[in-house]
Amino acid sequence: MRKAFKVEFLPFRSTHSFARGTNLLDAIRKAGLPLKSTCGGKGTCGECLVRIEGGEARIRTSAALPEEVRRLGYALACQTEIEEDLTVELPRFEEQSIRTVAGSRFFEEHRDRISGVFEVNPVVRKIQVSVPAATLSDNSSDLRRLQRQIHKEKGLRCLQAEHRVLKKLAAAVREKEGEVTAILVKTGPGWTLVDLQPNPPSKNLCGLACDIGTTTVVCEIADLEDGRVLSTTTGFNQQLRCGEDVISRIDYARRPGRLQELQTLAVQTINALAEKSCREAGISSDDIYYVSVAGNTTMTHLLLGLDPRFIREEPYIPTMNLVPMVKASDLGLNVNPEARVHCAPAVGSYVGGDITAGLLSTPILRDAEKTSLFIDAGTNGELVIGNRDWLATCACSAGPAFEGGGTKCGLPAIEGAIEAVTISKSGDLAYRVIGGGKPKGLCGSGLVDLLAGLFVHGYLDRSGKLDQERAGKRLVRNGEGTGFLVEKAPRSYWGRDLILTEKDITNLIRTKGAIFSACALLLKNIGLTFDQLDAVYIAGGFGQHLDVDNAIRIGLLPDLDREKFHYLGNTSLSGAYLVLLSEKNRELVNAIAGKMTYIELNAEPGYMNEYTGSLFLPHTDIGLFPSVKKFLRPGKRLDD
Amino acid sequence: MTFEIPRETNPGKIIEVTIGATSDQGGTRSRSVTIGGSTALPFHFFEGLHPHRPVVAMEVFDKAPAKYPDSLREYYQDVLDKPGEMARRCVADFGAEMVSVRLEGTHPEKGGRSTEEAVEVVKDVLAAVEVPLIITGHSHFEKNNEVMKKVCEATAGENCLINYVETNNYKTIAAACLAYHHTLVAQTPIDVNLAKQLNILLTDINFPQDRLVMDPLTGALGYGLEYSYSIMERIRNEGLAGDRMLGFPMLITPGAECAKVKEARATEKDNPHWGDEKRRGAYWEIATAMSLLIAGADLLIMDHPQAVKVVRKQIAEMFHPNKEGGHGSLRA
Repeated sequence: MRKAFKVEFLPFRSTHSFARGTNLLDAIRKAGLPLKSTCGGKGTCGECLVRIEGGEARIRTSAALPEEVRRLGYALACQTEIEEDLTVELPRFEEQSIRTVAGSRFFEEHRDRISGVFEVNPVVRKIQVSVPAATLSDNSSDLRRLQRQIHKEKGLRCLQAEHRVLKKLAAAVREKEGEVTAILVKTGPGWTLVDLQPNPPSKNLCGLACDIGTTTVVCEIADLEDGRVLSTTTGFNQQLRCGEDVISRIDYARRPGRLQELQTLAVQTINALAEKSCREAGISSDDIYYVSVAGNTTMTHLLLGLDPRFIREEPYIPTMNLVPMVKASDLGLNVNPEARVHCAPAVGSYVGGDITAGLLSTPILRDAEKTSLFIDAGTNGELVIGNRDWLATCACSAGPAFEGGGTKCGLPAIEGAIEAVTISKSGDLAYRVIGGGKPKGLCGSGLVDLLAGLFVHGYLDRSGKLDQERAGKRLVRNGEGTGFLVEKAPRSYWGRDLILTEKDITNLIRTKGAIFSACALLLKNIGLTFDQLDAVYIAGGFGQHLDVDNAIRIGLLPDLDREKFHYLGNTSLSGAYLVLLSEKNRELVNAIAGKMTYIELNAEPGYMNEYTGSLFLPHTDIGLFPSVKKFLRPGKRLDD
Repeated sequence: MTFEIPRETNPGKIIEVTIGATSDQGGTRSRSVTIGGSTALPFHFFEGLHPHRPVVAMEVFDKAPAKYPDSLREYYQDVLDKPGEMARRCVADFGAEMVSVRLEGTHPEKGGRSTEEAVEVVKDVLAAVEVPLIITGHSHFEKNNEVMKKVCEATAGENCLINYVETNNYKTIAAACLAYHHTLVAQTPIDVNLAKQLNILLTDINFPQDRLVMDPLTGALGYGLEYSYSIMERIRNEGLAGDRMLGFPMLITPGAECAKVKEARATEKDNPHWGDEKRRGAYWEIATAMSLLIAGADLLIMDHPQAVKVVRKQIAEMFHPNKEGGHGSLRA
């Protein structure tokens, strides 16, 4: 009897060998491949669904895997043991690429509003100079002559050179009559020579913008010469297997070796997405000389391999807020080894670089008259209020419900996610899927629409409980409780019913409640009311669009004039991208961090009261939602 | 110069709720009980009106609780298992103004008595006393709903106070209350918003506001009484400030709360420095009940006959028009 078997994992085309009887989920983790599982291998969450393409495996039956799905060849990895050679297909999250509201599209839509920021003047330059040959009368060194020439032709003061470049220098200045292509990076007051390109030089000079979120990671490649976005890819953070939120990751990192593991996973996540982005953009990873990362404080710490422990222990202190530039090769990023990595600075432990970068992509910093609110509804929700002259910020732990985590049917805004839903009075449901195929689940914008639709048409009471009678044929009851059937098994991608459970609804209400109550408390702290806000900018992984009306109906956003709201999508990515584009933006984002007043909500005695008040549709105090109130009449549905 | 008590007036008024039905009202009670109607904080006679006194009810059981304190058993002995007779004793000997019939024995893990048996117990008590009844259930949703539905039906027209519904289980019982003309307790765990939310849910399904009493779930002295107090006080303040969804009379249960805490139950033998448990049990309940009366309680379900006596006397004195420290002297 053979003791070891080969398992090929698709679509990664990686093959590994495992002992007989190895649990498939363990095997996938050993192979370092991404697969979500939240129940810890108990066979109850149903998230580690894979397809056995070749070979037979021993699969235990599980309530989370309906028989008809099993017959199609699907299995739960955690309930499967390897007994012969297998070919296993994993979900293709890493392979999926969608355009987010960022980069190029972002600027098509917002160019006017943020003019002044959109300039291409990056801290990386590719220049061509011809270095005069050395003579007996000009006996300056090769480097000195190159530096002099760079200053003479381009006006740049090149003060330093990397060791690696020096090795190429002597040969380069003596070929092709001294014509060289040099890559310079602005470091401090002057520039550093980081590379000399071979002849002919690469056509591309690119940067990688990366939003590293707790749940999802997005990479975007931009041409640093004209600012064009060449490609965007989205995937799950591979650290997900080590915990769903920052707190559980910080706890995970406490055991020996685990910090290194998390750092590696962060780098692997970025590398996988960057590789895909490069392929799509048609460039080589060596063309990337600049990486701009925006992430929350914990993600930044983990990427840099810094111990995040003290972020979660009172008095909640990060190792640093302003991150010095590091080299890509020091982190293990698979781009040009001399590329510099800029991490957007943090304000504190719970307001990170995703927010400072995010702010950069809003008009708030350019406005002195108006007062605006900026809401980043990520797993860790963050809020900023203010204008050019003052900024205050706070954080709230919102949970991942609007970006694909924490709900049974949730997905990030990737292909296959339902991004918009309408429900008619008679209960007919129509939806739109990203990419057009069969639905796999719902992303944040779809969940907001669904929740609002169910509420408005009386399928939910104000506490979010399903009216079982009204749900009728769409009512589902199974081992996990009661739910609303969004789509039947044969018409869904996975071949299983797509259900919004009451538990999902509770999670969504908690998340929206956390965000709204934090807004209310922040405003109260500053002495403002919602109607004194001139604009509200919303960011988050909801998807490409967010129906503001629906977001107000469920009480996620305050009930203000709809014109005041601007949904900006992934601002963290947009901000990282802006940092790539110009030196001014890099300085601005570093300056923002020092300007913000951080307000600790946990220390607020009124917090719990605000929060429980928000755990209702749209809110316990209906007076805060006059436009929703006029629909509400006791004993009547909103649509009557 | 005379001192003038500063006065706060309130725009709101606590809703008046009547429990029990006389023959004129379609029931068989000798009189009904009305609570609520206040326009000022409790006992602030100088600021507003308190048309109805807080009411004290006592509790009988379909199955005596396993941990019923020995010091209380003495008062009932042979009738503890005879809810009708026990109810009669509560009313005739101890002055109970209402009787709560607790049907905990129908809980599948606490006796699993049948719905029919529960209905018989309620009918028995209904026949034994003429005061309005409170019917108290438990947290096993499925069984409780079944029992309450049948009890509501069997006591149709008596306007009992059906105790209780909670946010995750309110529709069935509320519908039964509506159909058979009973009054309802909305119970939520020590939180102003949660209390308000359940009241909204109930009014959203057209449950009449004048048939709703709230139980904000209070703790005994030493077990979060201060927190309970502040939540009740905030609820009452909001109600008086005009928030209709918090302007309902409040029910509290110091009897059941105190009966389960060690400090009220433990014997003197085991804890000599704590003193006589008979008096201590009564004191504990008195301290809890009196504190929460000041926080806004309108209806109290109590256990200890001595505590009932003291609390009723205190209420009577506070409401007495002429007595020192009472209604009269406080009136501005």
